Formats: sequence, C-alpha cells, structure tokens
Amino acid sequence: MIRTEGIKKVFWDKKEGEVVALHPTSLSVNEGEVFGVLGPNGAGKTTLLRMLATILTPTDGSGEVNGYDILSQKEEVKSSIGFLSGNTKLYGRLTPTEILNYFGELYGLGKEEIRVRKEELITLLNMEEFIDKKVEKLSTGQTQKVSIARALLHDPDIYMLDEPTLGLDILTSKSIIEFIRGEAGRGKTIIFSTHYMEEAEVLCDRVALLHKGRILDIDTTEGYYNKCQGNNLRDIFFEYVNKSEGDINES
Amino acid sequence: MNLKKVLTVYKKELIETFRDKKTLILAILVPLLIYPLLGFGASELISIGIARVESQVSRVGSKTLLSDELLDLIKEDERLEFIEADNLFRKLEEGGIDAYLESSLEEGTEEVNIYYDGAIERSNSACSRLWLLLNDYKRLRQEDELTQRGLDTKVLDIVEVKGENIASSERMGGVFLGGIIPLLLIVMIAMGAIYPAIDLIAGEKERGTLETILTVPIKRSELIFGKYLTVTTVAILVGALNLLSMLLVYSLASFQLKEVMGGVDLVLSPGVGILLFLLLIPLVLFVSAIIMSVSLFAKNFKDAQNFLSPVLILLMAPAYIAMMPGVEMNFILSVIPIVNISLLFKEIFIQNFNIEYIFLVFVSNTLYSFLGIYLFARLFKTESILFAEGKGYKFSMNRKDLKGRKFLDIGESLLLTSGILFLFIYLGTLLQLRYELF
Ligand SMILES: Nc1ncnc2c1ncn2[C@@H]1O[C@H](COP(=O)(O)OP(=O)(O)O)[C@@H](O)[C@H]1O
Ligand SMILES: [Mg+2]
Repeated sequence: MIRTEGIKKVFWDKKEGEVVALHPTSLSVNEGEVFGVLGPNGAGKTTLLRMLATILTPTDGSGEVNGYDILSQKEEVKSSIGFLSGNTKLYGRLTPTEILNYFGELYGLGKEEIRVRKEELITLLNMEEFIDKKVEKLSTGQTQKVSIARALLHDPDIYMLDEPTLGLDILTSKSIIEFIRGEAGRGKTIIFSTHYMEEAEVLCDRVALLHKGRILDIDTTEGYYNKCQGNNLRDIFFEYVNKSEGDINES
Repeated sequence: MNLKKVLTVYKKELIETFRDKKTLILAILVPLLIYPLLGFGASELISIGIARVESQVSRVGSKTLLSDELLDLIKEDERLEFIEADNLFRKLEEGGIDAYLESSLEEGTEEVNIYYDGAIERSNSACSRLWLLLNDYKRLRQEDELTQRGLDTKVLDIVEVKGENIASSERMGGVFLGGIIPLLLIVMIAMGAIYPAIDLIAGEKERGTLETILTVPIKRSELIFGKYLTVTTVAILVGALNLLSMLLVYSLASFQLKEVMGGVDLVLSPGVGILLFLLLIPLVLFVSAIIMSVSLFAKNFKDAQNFLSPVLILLMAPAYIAMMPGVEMNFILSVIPIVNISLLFKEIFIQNFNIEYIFLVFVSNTLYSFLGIYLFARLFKTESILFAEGKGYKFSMNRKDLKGRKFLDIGESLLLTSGILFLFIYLGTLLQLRYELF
C-alpha cells in the first residue's frame, strides 16, 4: 500500500545552513496494517508523513502510495488518503456542515454522496449537537471530531495520522485511540506517528523507530521484545539511540 | 485546471470573507462614508470661506481729503465702509482697516493710490473692490470733463478690454477632481485588496488551515485562482462602491459649489462612471496580484501588514506624480503602471482625453495584470515560501548567507523584479518629465 525508496528531505535554514530532516529512508506498509512511526520532537515524523501525503516534495528518492507515484501523481495520492495532523486546522468562520460540504466538493464527491457520507460520520462521531455552529465556537474535542470527519469524508483506504492525540486531554486521546483501533478493525491501512511510546505499543502492528532523521529499526512489538533487553518500547528506544550514537562516534 | 474546483474555492472564500466584520467595515463601509464626509466637508469649507469673504465689508481709510464724488461713491457702496483716521499705514498693518486711499493733484492729474496688504485675503478683496470703484470714478470724471468741453463721450469706448475664461465650467470642476480622485481610488482599491489578501493568505498560514487544504486533491493553481478571484471580487466591489459614492456625493456637492464658485460644474455622468469602472478592472487585477504575491511571504497578519505598508506607498506615489500640474499623458507614460491610469483619469475629468490612450492604458494594464498573476502563481508553488518555519521569510543579502547555494532564490528574484519595476515607474517617469528623453 505504501512504499518508499530512499526518500530524503533537506531544508535550507538561514542559521544552520542545510538541515537534513530525513535521511534516505526506505520502508513499506502493507494493506490493512497499522504502522507506527515513533520518535521524539524533531525526529522527522511530520516531514516523512508530509512527503507521503505529497504536501512536501522529497529532495531525493521515490515512493508510492496506493500504487500512485508520490512525485508525479499527487492528486491520485491525495484522493487515496485521509491526512490528519496537528497542523491541519479548520476554518473558524464556517460551520462543520459547510466545511464537510466544501471538502466533499474538493474530493470530487457528488451532492448525494456527500450527504450520505456526512450523515454516517455525524452519527459515528456523535456530532449532531454542534453541526451548525461556527467552528470557532467549538471545544477542542468537538473540533477534533470535525477534523476527523473532514479527513475521512471520502472514505479513503489509507489513513495518515500525524500525532493525532497531540495536545488533547486524556479522555479525548483515549477516544481517538479507540477510534483508530476500530478503523483498523475495518481493514484500513493506517500510518500513524507519535512520540508517546505507549500509544505505539497498544495500536501498532509494526513500529519504525525514528531518531534525528534516521530510521533505527522497523519491527513488530514482539520482535523488539525478543531482540532487546528492555521490557517496554521506551527502554528499547533508548537502547537503540545509545547504540546508534556509538556507531556514529565510531565512524 | 478544473473550473469547478476553482469556483468551489471561490464560493467558500467569499462566504468566509463576508463573515469577517473587519474586512466588511474596512473595505466597504469606510469608503462609503469617506466621500460624503470628504465631499460635504470640503464643499462646506469652500462655501463658508467664499461666503465669508464675499459678505465682509471692506474698511477703507483715508486722511487726505478725497473729492466729494469719490466719497459719495464709497459711501453708496454697501460693501465698503469709510473710516477717517490718522496713522493709516500702522492701522493697515495691524488689521484695523483693509485698505486706504491717498490722493494728490499733480500737474492737473488726480493721482489715487490704493494701499493694501497683498498677503491678506480681506485686503486683496478690498483692493479689487476699490479698483472697480475707482474705474467707475475715473469714467465719471472723464465723462464730466468731455461734456463740459462739448465733446462726444464715445471716444472713451475706442478700446475695450475683456477677458474670457475658455475653460468650460465642467473642466474647471475636472481640474479640481482629476488630481485627487485617482489617488483616492487607488488607495481604496489597494485597501480593498489588502484586507482579504491578508486574510486568505497570511491568515491561512497563521490559523494553520493551509496544510489542511494542501492535503486534498486540488491543484495549487485551482486554489490560488479561487483566492485570487475572491480578492479581485472584493476589490472590484470596493472600486465600484467608491465610484458610485463619489458620483452621488459630487453631483450633490456640485450644486452647492456651483452657487458659491460661480458656475463650476463637476462632471461625473453615469457614462463617465461606467468608463472609469471598466478602466479600473485591469488595475484591480494587477494590484491584487502584487498584493497577494507580497502577502505570500508573510507568516502571519503582523508580517503581512509590515510587508504591505511600503507596497501601499509604492502604489500611491505614482498617483501623486500624475497629480502634479503640467504632467500630461504621452506614449511612454501611458504604459507605465499606475501613472498611466492616474493620468488617464485626470484627462477624463478635464474632458480632454484621447481614445488611443484609453486603449493603450487598458491593454498595458491587462498585460501587467497577467504578469502579476503569473508571478503570484509561481510563488505559490514554492515550498520554502509556503512552509517557512520559524521567522517570516527574509531576504538575505550578506555574503555569508549567499555562499554555498544557488545565487538567486525565488524571494530574491522577486526583489529584483520589483526593483526593476520600481526603477521603470520612477526613473522612467522622471526622465520623461525632466528631459523628454523618449
Ligand atoms: N520548513 C522547514 N524548514 C526548515 N527546517 C524544517 C522545516 N520543517 C522541518 N524542519 C526541521 O526538520 C527536522 C524534522 O522536523 P519534523 O519533521 O517536524 O519533526 P517531528 O515531526 O518528528 O517533530 C527538525 O529539525 C525541523 O526543525
Ligand atoms: Mg511533527
């Protein structure tokens, strides 16, 4: 479903000069899999997901999402995915209804399709109450529900969720995690980034450990437990970090 | 480009724009109020000023004995008051009187001198009243003299001097309006474009909705055209409202002005209004593209305001040039942006325009607007401008920063382009006016 070969991103920064946000990275995510990208702030998670979503163009390398090339078939890729991140905010002066209609039209859905899908999502996410209030008047939790509805309106097979629980309270976070789990159960392919080790642990089939723009390893949770000493992902992550810094110092 | 998506974006952006009260007030309400205030304020001031001078009685002093006939003439004139006093010079200086007369007989000629203070309007007015009065007096005396000698007074009419102002009253009004209106319109249109542009571009970055829109299958060109259409719609609406408001105010005010200024008519007929409106469209397209390009570099509202203030001044300055008396339309000026439209407006107001120039101005401004749109579309595709993290975009010009990368990045090429445009507008106009080089 998702496959990359050596994708790399270099930014130009006035002070630092060239910043390699992501070193050449190759990975693949299978259909129906929940794939976690785990890493601290600045690891390169957002950059990786943005490139997969064709919002950013890789400096080098290539990739495919749902069989479409991320360099040359951006629109097809975008139609295949639902992308959600802390940076995908909503228009405050519009109501959820207006926002869903707007994005429905942009996804190329027909009027009737939009109406049906909207009804589904309103029920699924419990949004009846605030569906015609302006978004700027909604609570954080309500807004996040509208964001999810917006990202999944066109019923994509692939979800790309960049730190979907960032900045939310425990209850809302929990309901989002439950929602992701439910969607995984419906056979969706999900790539999901987080810096909370626990979230990765409970949700993911496989986890990529990302640190300073490099993938340290990709494995199932069990795989990590078998080959490492630590008995939770947090400790295992630190084992990898120490090892990799040693490697860098040696070379 | 999919037109349906462009229209979807357009529709949504319009709804959002018209839900923003600040945009509504600044872009629509203010211009609608400014003309009535300005128009009635100005005409009120002018008429008050003129009426005051007209109704004031001029105090005329004298100490030497004037002839009875002259004294009678002065006393008959309701607008003159005769004051007998000493120290007339001092009194005039202090403003106690407005003018004084001295008369003397020299070799059979009665010489009458008017002393007045040319720096004071009241005194000037007293002088011209006395001048007319003394002319009558002179004529009376001459007629008396001729009759006494049994001669025909007709010889006095042998030469008659008359002055005629060839400007129609419309043109007088046009001179008055032609200078200020292009400037006002350009400022208003620029403001009309600036507020939605900031909201639709910098606002989208500041509120974090830019990334949302980039996740959906819409081409950037579709998105920017939707936004561009929105900004131009608001700016055109503002332009039309301004013209309409102007038309109404000035046709009302012209009645008032006509009375006090003696036949100064202000033309803004509906036909002229429509012509001006059509000419405004390419201007709006050009100005909007420039403003939207600049606001792309801003990360937030504050940046955008900082970046756009100099742009506003840059847009106003050429209109000032056109306001200067003696600057007239010619081929070169008719293809220099802003200067051309301002001059054309000025000429339309004095009813002295040329169809070829209207055509040239329209065509050249349409070309500039295409250039502007192209530039804007290029910029919008530039990742580093859309996703500038941290501080707003900065132009770097020191050598350390320039080392180790492509010589010109997109921002610097923009700077260069605008520099060239700037030189073109100012140096071109200056050389043209100073030395008539072209
Ligand atoms: N537009 C940008 N310009 C310059 N540097 C950037 C830009 N975006 C990200 N970076 C840098 O790239 C690195 C990775 O960032 P990011 O992908 O946002 O990490 P994460 O999402 O894991 O926190 C960071 O060092 C960040 O400063
Ligand atoms: Mg991130």
